[in-house]
Amino acid sequence: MFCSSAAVSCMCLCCMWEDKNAMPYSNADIIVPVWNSPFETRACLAAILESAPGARLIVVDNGSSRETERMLEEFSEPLGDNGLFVKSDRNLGLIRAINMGLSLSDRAFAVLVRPHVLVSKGWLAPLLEAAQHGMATSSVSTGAASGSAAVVETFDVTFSVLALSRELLRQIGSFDEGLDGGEWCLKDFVRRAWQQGYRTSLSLNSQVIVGAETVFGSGERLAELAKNSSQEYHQRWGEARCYAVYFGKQADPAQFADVAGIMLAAARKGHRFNVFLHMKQHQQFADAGWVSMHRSVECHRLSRMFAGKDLEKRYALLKSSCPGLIAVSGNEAVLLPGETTAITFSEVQQ
Amino acid sequence: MLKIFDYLFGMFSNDLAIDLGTANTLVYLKGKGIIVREPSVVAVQRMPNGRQMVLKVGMEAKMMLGRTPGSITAIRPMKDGVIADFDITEEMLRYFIQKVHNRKTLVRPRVVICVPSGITQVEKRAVKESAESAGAREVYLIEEPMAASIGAGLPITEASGNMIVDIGGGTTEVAVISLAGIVYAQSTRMGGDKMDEAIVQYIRKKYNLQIGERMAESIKIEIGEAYPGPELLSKQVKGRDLVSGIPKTIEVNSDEIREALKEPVNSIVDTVRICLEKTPPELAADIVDKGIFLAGGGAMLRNLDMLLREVTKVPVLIAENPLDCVVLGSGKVLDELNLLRRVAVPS
Repeated sequence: MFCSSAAVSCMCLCCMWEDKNAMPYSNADIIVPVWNSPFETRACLAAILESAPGARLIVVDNGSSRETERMLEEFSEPLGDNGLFVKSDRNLGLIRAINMGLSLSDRAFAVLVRPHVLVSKGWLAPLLEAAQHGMATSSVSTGAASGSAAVVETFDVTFSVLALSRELLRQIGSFDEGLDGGEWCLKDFVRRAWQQGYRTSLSLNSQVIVGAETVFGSGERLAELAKNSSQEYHQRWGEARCYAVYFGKQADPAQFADVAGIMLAAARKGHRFNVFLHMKQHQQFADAGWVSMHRSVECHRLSRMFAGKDLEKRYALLKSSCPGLIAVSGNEAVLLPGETTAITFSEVQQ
Repeated sequence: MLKIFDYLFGMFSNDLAIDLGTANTLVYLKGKGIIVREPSVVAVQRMPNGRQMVLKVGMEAKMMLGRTPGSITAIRPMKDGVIADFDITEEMLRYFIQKVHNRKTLVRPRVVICVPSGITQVEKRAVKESAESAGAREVYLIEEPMAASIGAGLPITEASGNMIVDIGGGTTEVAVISLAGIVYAQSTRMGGDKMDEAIVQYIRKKYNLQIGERMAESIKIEIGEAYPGPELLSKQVKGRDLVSGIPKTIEVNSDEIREALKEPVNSIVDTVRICLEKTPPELAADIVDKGIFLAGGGAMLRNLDMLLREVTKVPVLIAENPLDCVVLGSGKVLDELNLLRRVAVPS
């Protein structure tokens, strides 16, 4: 497309998209489901265009008003074939709109971005890298660089930003439109992905700014929908459990590798672990990379001086915030404070 | 005391007339003619506290929007011919007043602003205050049909009746004028913009193709018509397929566009017919003799004059310079202050 601007550095949309040689993201489709909020949506789309040259934009207009339509028309004009803009005259709901966008995507990666998200420079490359083995989500921008682990496995993802590999979609299909458009739908998708051997990750180097999302519907209706969806989910996959693990100070480090493996496998199915470790044990876990192996495995380092008191205090806090917490002992002789029994890891594995 | 300063500053300022249209703003400078013709568009940025900050106005705003996508967006402060956002309109007026004078200080001109005929007292006051805040020392409001009639050269000060149909971007105003006053006026929120919108909707329904407003406008201008002409015109139209989302080109012809424009055109024709019916017979007779004058951009729709002639059985003429009639008329009264005081809307 010819740019008529005489300026040396031309900032117009057509020029940004013209130089295909400088576009590293030709393997990605970025799907944005839109419903009104033209200001916010425009800012989101503009940020995507600026930071992801070569990626194809797939915008699904989910029954927006004329004002938003006009904005999308203006946006789509310079994109030509580098953008797909489809419209539904009536609002299909979020999941159906996302699935519509996924059905149009045919590149190696499909990346979902909601309009209330502002992506930043360099967000896409680490996200796609993390999604190589299945799917990945970005982290909310804090301005700080990530620590040692750039990619951490997780069970919790959101529709705000979610990258999916083509292989994954081919194997497990799209999102279940019968579940709620949030937590349980995503959990079901993650479980289906894991069942086929795909991993879900959080890319700490991919940072985005997530604005406030308007949630529609009465509290009662949303609660009912969540309840029905959670029942459906539990019927399919069983209940997710929350465990507290303590090995005792004299635990044999040789067992840690097996235990870490069991916890990782369970975390990938949605179970949560809170592991209380003494200083040396925490160091051993860190050296082996188990401290950041999964977001659902949280390692709590006990204080060196008053470990017992620290453990008591933390465990009590955890118990109050996590009803149904199950105590797990890494050593039959050692129990968590206040507990008379605990299950073993072989029982967890079962 | 302030009046003395106003008078002094007024000596360094040029009187001007402003036609604040829905689509375009025209500014007439006394002694110079039309010197500004820019889109009625403002580029604004939404701040974190939710307020809007005006960045650019007019042509600069339109150019800015094309170059730097982001949280900057376009606002048209005039909707359907009336001011929808007074703060932004004030910014627009300030921009045009300062642009015309090429400076920001010692600028206190006399300003004539064209307003729709059905404007309420509250709206009149708001327009006046906006203009005064923007730097005007004296503000006169003149109704658009009146300005259009003067611009079209109609003898408005005479006793005989004159009918003007001003088809703008946002509204169509039909008025009967006699003895420098509007005897009867009828307004409808149907104008060029709604015609473009009708074309967009028609093509969407028939071809499942989404086209932009600019494309719709170019279709209207190139092959649009209100009444069948001697030849069938056609045009290639670029848009996006609504199902696949990819760009697509189709061909449309003037018969289809006439069909698309049926509703907006009929609305305008009905407004004219009603106005004629409600006009006193003495004046109606004058109009039958002299004819109906069309002004505004919408007057240039192919064969609209023929359709009106067919329906009303009255001669229909298109003003010589339909797009500029309103501002030219407002500009003319700047040179005739007595006439201005007669035709200006009391506020």
